Amino acid sequence: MQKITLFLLFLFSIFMDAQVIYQPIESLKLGETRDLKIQLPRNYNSEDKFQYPLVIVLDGDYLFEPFAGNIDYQAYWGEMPQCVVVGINQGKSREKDLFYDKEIFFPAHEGASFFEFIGMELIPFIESKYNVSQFRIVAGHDLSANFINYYLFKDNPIFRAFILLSPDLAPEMSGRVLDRVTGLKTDTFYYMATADNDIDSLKGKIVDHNARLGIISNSKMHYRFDDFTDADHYSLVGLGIPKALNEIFSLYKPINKKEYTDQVLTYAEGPFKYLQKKYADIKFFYGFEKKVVENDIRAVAAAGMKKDDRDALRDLSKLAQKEYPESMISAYYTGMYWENENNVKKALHSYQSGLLLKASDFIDKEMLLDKIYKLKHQK
Amino acid sequence: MKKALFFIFILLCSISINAQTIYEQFESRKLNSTRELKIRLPKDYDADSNLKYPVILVFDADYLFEPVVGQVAFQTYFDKMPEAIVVGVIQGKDRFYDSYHDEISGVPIEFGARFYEFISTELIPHIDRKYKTSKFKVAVGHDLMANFMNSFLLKDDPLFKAYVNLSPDFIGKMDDNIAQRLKWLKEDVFYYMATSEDDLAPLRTGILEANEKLGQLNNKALKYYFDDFKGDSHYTLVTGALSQALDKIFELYKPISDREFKNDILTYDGTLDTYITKRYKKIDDLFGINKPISEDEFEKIIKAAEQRGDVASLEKIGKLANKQDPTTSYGTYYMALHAERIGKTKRAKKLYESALDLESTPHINKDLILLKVEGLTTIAVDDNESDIDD
Repeated sequence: MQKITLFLLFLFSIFMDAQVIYQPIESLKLGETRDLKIQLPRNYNSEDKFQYPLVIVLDGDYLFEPFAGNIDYQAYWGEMPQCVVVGINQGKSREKDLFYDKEIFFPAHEGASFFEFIGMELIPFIESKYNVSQFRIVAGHDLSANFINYYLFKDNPIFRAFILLSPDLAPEMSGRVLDRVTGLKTDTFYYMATADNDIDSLKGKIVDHNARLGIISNSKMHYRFDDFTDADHYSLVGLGIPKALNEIFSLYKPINKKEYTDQVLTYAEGPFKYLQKKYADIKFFYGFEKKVVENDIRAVAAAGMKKDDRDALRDLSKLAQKEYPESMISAYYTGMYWENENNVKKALHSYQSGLLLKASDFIDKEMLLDKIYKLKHQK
Repeated sequence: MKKALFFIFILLCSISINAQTIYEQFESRKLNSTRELKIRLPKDYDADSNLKYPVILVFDADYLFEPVVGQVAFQTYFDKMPEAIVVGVIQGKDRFYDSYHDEISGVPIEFGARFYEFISTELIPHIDRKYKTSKFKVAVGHDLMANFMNSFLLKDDPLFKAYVNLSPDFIGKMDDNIAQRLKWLKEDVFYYMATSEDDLAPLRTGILEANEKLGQLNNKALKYYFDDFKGDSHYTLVTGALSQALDKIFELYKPISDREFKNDILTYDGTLDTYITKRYKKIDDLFGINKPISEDEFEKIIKAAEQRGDVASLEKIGKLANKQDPTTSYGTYYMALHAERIGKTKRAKKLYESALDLESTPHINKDLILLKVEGLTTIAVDDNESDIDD
């Protein structure tokens, strides 16, 4: 079944790969031109109204490519939405960009300019050019991972998710972050990783920071920590990125076996209401809408049939018709509803009308013909 | 130290141009059709240079190519692996036929056999002709294509030296055949396999059984790695596994780690020039890459020699460095260091002075050498050393 998904998704992929754009940006704050790397989603179309999450990657010189590769991959399988990924090159200016005052430990001089550059120049620039949503993720490694913490301290942080790969934490940073996240009112993700062979001086501070963050009980703070074995300061990056992304988009994922058994089947108001709630949560959480995926329609249909929940099947057939009018999906689930209602005539009509529509990941002509054959012989 | 390296690398690498993916239509006689390839060349690829690159062949390039390219870009940035040529085969709706196999033996038959021939007699030779490739070839496959690529191992002198199995869907007796083969194989081979807690149940069972068999093998030529990821699915396990696999395969290529320093170098039985020469020879033998010994590596073994009070190594390392880079200062500097340590101050001073005339390097610069010369000048006042040995 999953194999079929694999098979059909291929059809779309050819020559519509995610494109990477190398783009300089003039910055008044920095007083210079800065190189950006931008990856747009596969099949990106600027006419489209869909708004993509924005992922800002510091140390884009080396951190952009693994993020771009991971996001393209995970999005291909629907594990996360497609994103606009922006890497900021810092090769020549890293130390200046990430500079913080050695007495008060906040960004100063060029560090302060770089801090403002991201919020006041870079993000507006990207927003003016591409369809991006308000859901923004920021990621860094080492010194740049420390730096992204400063964005937490603003009243309304411009980022909703922070990915810290082996951060080189500034003095007092841990206490300040702790104070801040305790009072967070918006759902915020905070991911941090280290490894058994990480640089000792960094690891000590990270472990302490984790010990303090681990006991926070603010439900708005979504925290995950990984301490990888058999990895070092560099190799932990490839392990940490997928963990962070999957954690951030855990709510977004298609319904899997576990969610089906634990939640879809047991939801008091029935499986269809569960589906509605799931997608409303996604919208609330991430601030962008997700089109109901076929996988989830199938899950709800299965639960509806299992529990003989006629309302759920009816509502689902309507949803399928609304979301997928040109696909066999609409015909199939409408037919299923009527079949369950023992209305053979309407069921047959639905299945037959589907024969001219577009096949989906899971439904093809064979399946519809099979249904029609069975119904006719049952008569 | 690591930090310093980190920044040096950033500086070195930031100048180079970023690579782009090449899309190529490949006409295959074996398949009687045209296949799409995605190819990514090293950053500063130069067709006229003598450098050769390993090839990483990626099946299911529709979705697997980009994460491999991303990981390779990251690792090469920090010199954790050599630059490589990544070749992806787009399989799309042909995947079912490409991976067509015998249910009992698990090996490719009919169209699958032709796809096998396509890879071994058309695609790889084509890449070898067109680009500067080394003999080191890596295969990356997910699911059914991982099962498929294992069949290359069953041939004499296998085409691929490293196999990255991402949640492989082992068919029939494939895992037994592989275990039998890997038990006796004489050529060095890397075999990586990953599954996860929430992997597809039948696949996971097969993989765990295969791991039982492979984990017991006691063949020195085999480097076997296995990962069982927590909280990941058949799909989400892929990118983390790729990073682990590439990290392990190129372990030997990486700069000397603290662990190697402590466990292998400090305790090495013999002079350290031999150690480092052998290490680089191994890199050449395995990956087909002839890389010069970097100054950082020289610095590390010098440090080790000093730590273990091994003056013989100091001199030999100096000679080795001079042989490799006669125009730079560090070889002569190490020779001077040796002379200083064995108490031949005048000779040491002379050598330091001659090092001053050579090109300085990031570690050994003029200031450092001058400091040494000054230090020795003060000592030399009451030094009774003769020049007999000169």
